[in-house]
Amino acid sequence: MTIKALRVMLNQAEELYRSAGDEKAAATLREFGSILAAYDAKTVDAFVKLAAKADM
Amino acid sequence: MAIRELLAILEQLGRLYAAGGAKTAEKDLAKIVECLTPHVSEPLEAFAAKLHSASVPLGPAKRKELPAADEAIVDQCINRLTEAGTDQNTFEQAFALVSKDARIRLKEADAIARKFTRQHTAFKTKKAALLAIRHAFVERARFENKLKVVS
Repeated sequence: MTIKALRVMLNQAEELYRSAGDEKAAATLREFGSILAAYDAKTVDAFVKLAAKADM
Repeated sequence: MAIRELLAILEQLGRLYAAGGAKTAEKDLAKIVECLTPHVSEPLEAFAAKLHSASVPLGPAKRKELPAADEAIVDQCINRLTEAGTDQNTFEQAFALVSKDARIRLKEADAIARKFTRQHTAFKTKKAALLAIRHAFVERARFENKLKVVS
């Protein structure tokens, strides 16, 4: 799965949380989604590798 | 915002996807959760900054520098070749010495040819540099012969 596809999923989840009245969770997902947007073309695996590189 | 809050939401979502049978989504969310877990106490912005610095390329790989031409050898060869003037025999002797000299590599041959031919473009091979030297000599010799004929 690409990060872009993951973001679509998170956007849907954000809408669900918002409609359920959990604005804080929706805002958290929105913020995380905006960070992920820079890595849209990467797969989740590539993103995880990048995150591991960031840990070093 | 701390990553701890985000992790709680992502884990909840993962359980929802698992219950719905969306295995790929569940697995990928689990991978994201796993990579975020070491940063649990960090703010999301700090994680984003780390990610950004890790994704920035380190810059072009350094090319291996070729050793510079040995100026002493270059000057020595240029002197030999220019002293020959337009005399065919003297030039052939000087040229043979230059082409057979094992100390002359591409860098030296290029420097000699550029000085002798007064060209600015680099020669890609030693052979091309030597050929250019010979051509320059032939042109000069022909030009001098033409002047002699005219006068």
